[in-house]
Amino acid sequence: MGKWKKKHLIDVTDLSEDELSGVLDLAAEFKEKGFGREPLKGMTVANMFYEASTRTANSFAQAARNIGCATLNFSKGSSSVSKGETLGDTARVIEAMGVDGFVIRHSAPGAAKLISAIVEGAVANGGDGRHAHPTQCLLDLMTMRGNNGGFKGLKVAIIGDILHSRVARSLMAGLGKLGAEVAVAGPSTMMPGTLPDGVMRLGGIEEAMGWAKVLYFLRIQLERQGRPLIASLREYHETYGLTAERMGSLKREQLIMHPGPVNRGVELAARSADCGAARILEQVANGVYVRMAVLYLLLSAAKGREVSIG
Amino acid sequence: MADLLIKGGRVIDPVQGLDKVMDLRLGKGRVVEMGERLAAGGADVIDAAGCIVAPGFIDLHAHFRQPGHEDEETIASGAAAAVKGGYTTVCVMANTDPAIDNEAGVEFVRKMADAAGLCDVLPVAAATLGRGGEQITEMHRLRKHGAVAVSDDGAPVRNAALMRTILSYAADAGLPVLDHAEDPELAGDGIMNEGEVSDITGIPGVPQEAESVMVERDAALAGLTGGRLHVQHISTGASVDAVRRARGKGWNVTAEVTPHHLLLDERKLETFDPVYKVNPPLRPAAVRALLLEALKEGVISAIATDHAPHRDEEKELDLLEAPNGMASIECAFSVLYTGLVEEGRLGIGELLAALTSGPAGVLGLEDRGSLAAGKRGDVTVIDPAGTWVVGEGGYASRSSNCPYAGMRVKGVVKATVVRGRVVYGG
Repeated sequence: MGKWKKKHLIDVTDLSEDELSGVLDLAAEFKEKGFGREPLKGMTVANMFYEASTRTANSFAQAARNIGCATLNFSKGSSSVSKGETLGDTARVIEAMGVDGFVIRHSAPGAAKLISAIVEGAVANGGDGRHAHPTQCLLDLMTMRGNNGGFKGLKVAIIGDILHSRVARSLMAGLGKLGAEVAVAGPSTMMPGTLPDGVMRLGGIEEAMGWAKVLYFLRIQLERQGRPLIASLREYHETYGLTAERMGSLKREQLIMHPGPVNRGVELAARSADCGAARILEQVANGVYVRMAVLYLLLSAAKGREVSIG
Repeated sequence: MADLLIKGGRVIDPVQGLDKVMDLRLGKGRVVEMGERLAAGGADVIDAAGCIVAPGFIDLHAHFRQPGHEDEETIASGAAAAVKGGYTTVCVMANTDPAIDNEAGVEFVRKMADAAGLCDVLPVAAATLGRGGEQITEMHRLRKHGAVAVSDDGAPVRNAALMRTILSYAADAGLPVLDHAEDPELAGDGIMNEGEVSDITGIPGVPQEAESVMVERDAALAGLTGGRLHVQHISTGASVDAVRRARGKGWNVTAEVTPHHLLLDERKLETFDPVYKVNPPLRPAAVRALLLEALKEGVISAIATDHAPHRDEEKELDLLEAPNGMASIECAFSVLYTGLVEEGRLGIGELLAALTSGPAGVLGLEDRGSLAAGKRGDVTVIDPAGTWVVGEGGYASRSSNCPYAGMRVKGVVKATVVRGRVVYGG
């Protein structure tokens, strides 16, 4: 039994193994037992989304409402955020409106950390550039734990653009922390030069399918900043996608996960996203519970309220 | 003006191979003589007992932002920061607004420097109009009006044919070309060194080859044209190899390194603090060591600050939007002395050479960089035992984006003397 003390969540690397489990336990409790009491009634969470996002923004908004918080929504398109006003200024302005917590999604690595150094309230990183996406990681861990029971000996293969993916970075860190075995596969143009300790690079999709229990597919973009990294989506599907043919060779215990949105026919064959092995909608549902748990813990810590975990 | 007698200091002049406790007399803006127990004879006296007396420092690379960005720095504030750091000559880059690309701009810089009356500020003019990488500047006119070199610093010259023309034409005009070597396509959207730390943090990386392929190209073009190439802020082993090879072939190629590439490494970016964002980026520790070796070997002949002031509020911009650059001219000597000389990694004579005779040689400034009789009376007096905390008590610069802020360092500039006149301390 420990007490939760952190008021910011920048990356899963900031969390101890106990804290990680504590968040997952609380999320599971919310999922099983409901949350009728609206524990944080009267508080306000600002969703600052500088990058387009439908699912993460809505998932956080839903999570905030479920625990009784009001939400303020700022997105790059709808606000006066523009060059000239620094990120720090914007955060101060929003805080002055009477906000207790911030969720920030931004294209710059370190953006959530920068805001956490400026505001009094709690800060949850909703994705900062290619750096980290801790709540995505937590919802993925919750989904894996729910399906597998634990992490010891669990083999997870992450397939796709590892280099540019905050989802991959956070997931490799989180799984490593909990004792799972992690491997990656993808085109060399999408691979970092160095992988975290203990993470293997597999030769290809076939090897990944032969090795892993969880096949985690990342969303692919044809090019980044105008630089083509793969020749075509068609060729990507053939070399690294879960084709209809490969789907036929899935073993019964294997799971398919994807952070969404799925490019049907690219990472996954058109029908495979809906097959029995897919946990994609379960991931989305768990996302709300995980974000409830995160907001609940961070806001409680920011208000000096003690919450027991573990 | 009375003569100036600097008494009893440890006079170090790398060019003359001199390191001895002596007196030094300046008169009529020049070095008159040095010797033991020189008579004061009406001269003003600086007691330099326990201090190092060195030729005035020369910075080949600074940004004083004027005209156009006077909120960040002016020639006067930059000069004040420079003399506080012991610099008596500073070369300022042309990436102002408007760019210094014609004789009026060059004259403006000199005029503002004269009005400030602190150190010598030498304009480096743009190599192409507006630093646009298309039309070369009137380099003969620029030289006549006081430009000491040409450079599009900050904007790499993408086009190899244009670089060839610049090197060839500048050679006719008698001007060195200071080269910001970077392949912009290879650098892409990167903002830190590509490697282990960029892989972990997800901060977009720039491969070291984005610099070295351009150094290779431009060294080859210096060979082709017989032009005078100086590689700015060199930061990779392969770049050093390219310069060494070019020099071995007798080509006219030199290089400078910044204090931050000698003292800091890429791990600083783990903090996501934009004060560590700089171009070229901080490299791995192993490269840092290699650059120091190249300096000792002489392949790199100068340490240049690349003093790049930015407004304070820019620190609160996100890492992608935050500008590149570090303001360091007022603490450069002290951080180098503390980090390299005190640690036994570089001799005091080697450090002083890289700050005086080395840079003078790069630009062919024969009147300075040494304390031989007849040279300009530019002298820096340093108390090597004194300590201070960087940033404590504020900066002379208008900006405070200094990566060494808060560090306790050794080596205090006690006096800076320009043309025989004390312009700082005393």
